[in-house]
Amino acid sequence: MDEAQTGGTVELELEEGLYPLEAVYGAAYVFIDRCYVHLDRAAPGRLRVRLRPKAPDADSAAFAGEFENELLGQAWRVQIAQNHRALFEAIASRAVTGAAGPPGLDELFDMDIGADTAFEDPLGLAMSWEEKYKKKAPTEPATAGEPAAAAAAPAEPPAEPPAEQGGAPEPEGEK
Amino acid sequence: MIELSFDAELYDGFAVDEAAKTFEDFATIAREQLPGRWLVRVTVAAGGEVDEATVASELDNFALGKTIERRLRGDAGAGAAAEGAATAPAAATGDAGGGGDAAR
Repeated sequence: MDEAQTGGTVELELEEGLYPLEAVYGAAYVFIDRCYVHLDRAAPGRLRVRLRPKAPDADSAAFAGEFENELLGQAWRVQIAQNHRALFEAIASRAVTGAAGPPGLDELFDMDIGADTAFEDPLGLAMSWEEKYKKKAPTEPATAGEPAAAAAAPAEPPAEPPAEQGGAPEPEGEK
Repeated sequence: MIELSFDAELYDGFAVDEAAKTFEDFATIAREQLPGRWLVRVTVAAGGEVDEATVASELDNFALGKTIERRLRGDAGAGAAAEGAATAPAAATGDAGGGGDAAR
């Protein structure tokens, strides 16, 4: 980086390979409220930055030093942005996808939901009461290795509606 | 008269155009296109309210700021925009008061 000062104007010459154009733009944008900044191409691959402070009593050499520091920071930021571009894009795309919200009715109608693709129901929440508590078919007799108490247990739940007061339930065979 | 020269690869042609239109109320501004460069001539009439050098320097800064903002917005790059602006009538005629959306 070369630096030349004439009057109140400072000229810097930068190697474009070391300081990318985006970094030079970024540093120039920071200074355009305090300095008059002009960019030019000194030679192929070399940029010339001309700085002139707006305040008449300002120290142009100090501005040049600040500009060089800012330029270094901007170049580093450009490098970081390039290295993490894939990560930035992944985060942004995920955020945009999440902002779309849950599917609407049209999307649900268009979905292919069948017996194979429907959601699983391990707790039986989608089953009807009759389907869930219907009488089960009699089980096969217990094998010889099982205890007799287990074989004698009733296959159906014992819950029965309580008998009304004043009369005993009639046996099914008398109906 | 102060002549400003903008490298077409570094400065957006539309930004230079907009800067010229923005400052035409303070000075007489003429534009000319050379190969790879934009020339802007700033002339303040004698006895004018503002300093000619100040108008030219502010126009220079304005063009640079607009160029950077256009690049940040993802508009066409400086070189591409310069080629596009070269086909625009306002850029070729040097008429600073031509059509377009000048930021005032």
